[in-house]
Amino acid sequence: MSAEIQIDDATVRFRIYRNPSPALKEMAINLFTRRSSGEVLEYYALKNLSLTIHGGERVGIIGLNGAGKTTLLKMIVGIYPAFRGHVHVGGRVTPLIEVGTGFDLEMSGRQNIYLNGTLLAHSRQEMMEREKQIIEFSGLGEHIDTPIKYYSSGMLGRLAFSIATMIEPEILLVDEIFSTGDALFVDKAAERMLSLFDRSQIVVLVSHNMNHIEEFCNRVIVLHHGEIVNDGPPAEMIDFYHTHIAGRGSNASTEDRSPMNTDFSVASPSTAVSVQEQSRFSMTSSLSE
Amino acid sequence: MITSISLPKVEKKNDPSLAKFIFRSIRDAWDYRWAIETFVTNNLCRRYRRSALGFYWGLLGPLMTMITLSVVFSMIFHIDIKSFTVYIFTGLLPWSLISDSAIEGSQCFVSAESYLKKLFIPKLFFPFVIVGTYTVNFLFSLTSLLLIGMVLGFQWKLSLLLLPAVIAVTATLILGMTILLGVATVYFRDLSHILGVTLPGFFYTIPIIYPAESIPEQFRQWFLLNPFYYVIDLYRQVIFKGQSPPIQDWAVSIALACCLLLAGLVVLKRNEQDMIYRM
Repeated sequence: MSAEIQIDDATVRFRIYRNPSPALKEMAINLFTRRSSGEVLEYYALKNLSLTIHGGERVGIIGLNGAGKTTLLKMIVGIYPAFRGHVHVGGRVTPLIEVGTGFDLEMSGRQNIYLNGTLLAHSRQEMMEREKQIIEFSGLGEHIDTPIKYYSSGMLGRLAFSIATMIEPEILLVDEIFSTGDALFVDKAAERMLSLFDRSQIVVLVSHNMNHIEEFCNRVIVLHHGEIVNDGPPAEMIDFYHTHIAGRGSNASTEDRSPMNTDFSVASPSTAVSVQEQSRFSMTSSLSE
Repeated sequence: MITSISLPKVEKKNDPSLAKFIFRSIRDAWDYRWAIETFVTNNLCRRYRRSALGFYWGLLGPLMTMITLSVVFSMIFHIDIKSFTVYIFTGLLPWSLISDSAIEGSQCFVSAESYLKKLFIPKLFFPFVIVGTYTVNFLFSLTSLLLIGMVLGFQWKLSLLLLPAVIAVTATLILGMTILLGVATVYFRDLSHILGVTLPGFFYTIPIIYPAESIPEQFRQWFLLNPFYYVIDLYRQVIFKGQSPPIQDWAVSIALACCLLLAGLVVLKRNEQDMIYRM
């Protein structure tokens, strides 16, 4: 039985509320002024998207900021339910989208291994078996029993990566998580990612690094304004992307320097707000596109 | 690409039956039982972090409060300290369980925004964590009460054996309440503040610090309309009066708890898909 992802005509709609949840006072005022408080901006992050991915495929997704790449991954995971259409996922999904979500800064690295691991639906038993491997791979050594609020961001990233990749994936969804830690760790991490890719039946990789896309994928999808504009072999698609999409607007040159897609490696509770702001930024930027 | 409209319609799509939804939700939450356990433990430990006595504060805290209160009250009102203490706290403890979990539970989805937007976690996970945390905390307080009663020489009866069943009913009740309030707060953020100011007043409508018999006959039926009265009364009968509650008291409480849970699940089902977009 091989894994499969099937997306039929799916649309993801964000509704940007001028005021997400009107306060009582405003409701009362609106009642008198007869102005509707339900005014919303609708924004379609994915539009009538159809896509079938079979076992054995390594799919790269490329596109500009705000093209809907991360939203597509989050829709497959189930975070953003499709507003219209169907998403069928056959197989266990392992998202490596924002690793390190749910870290408790007050707790030690070791406690966070359990916290984070169980949050990924692993059992305590499983985590006990893997604890040693995780600590070893993260290279944190004796710091593992230090509260993680004293960790550097690199250490935090290493821990998060080590926990998140300690898995047996069927369907692996990856969103730009190569850039963690120092050079030594990056090499180790790349190796780990490769072996993860080899063991998964399906890999969906979102990246702005065309070298990674070319190296790891056997199929590439070009996403633009929430629609699939092209789908095919990597070299051709990267070429298409450069000539037709990234090459066009003036925003193409700023693309790789944008913080949006490089800062996602660690999301600790304290950074939750900033990440949220970033995603809001991404929406507004795509609105103005 | 962008359309500005007012009062959007909610579109329905591939709607599963309620039974299927409940089954799926419970199965998903069961997959996350270790995470629930970890979160509950962490929530409880967080309070006592870095303190020398640590977890024992969970027992000691309510113990000290109860001793102080009962000594002061018995000195002021010259009442029998032993039955007074047990009487007050059999009502007070379940009430604080209900009101604390209502206030905290109303925030359960809103405060989990960063989780919900980054990980796929079954929605029921968050209410379960709240219920778990407060129920365990309640067990600590209840143990303190039983200890104090023993020291004061209060006669514990065999009816205490019914306590686990009463606690199970209470847990079901607050689970339903948490889901209901949690979903409602996503759409109406003021709710948790409203609860914060109205619940303390609501407290006086339940015979907790006064006996039910002191309510004038003609008003008593109004007090019986209070849904939480029945559950709290179960504790009073089992712990204080030392009797097995009559079947109709059980029936009312269990029916209430189940209705609330069912209502919670229905509301969750209707809003599950939309909630994330309202965070």
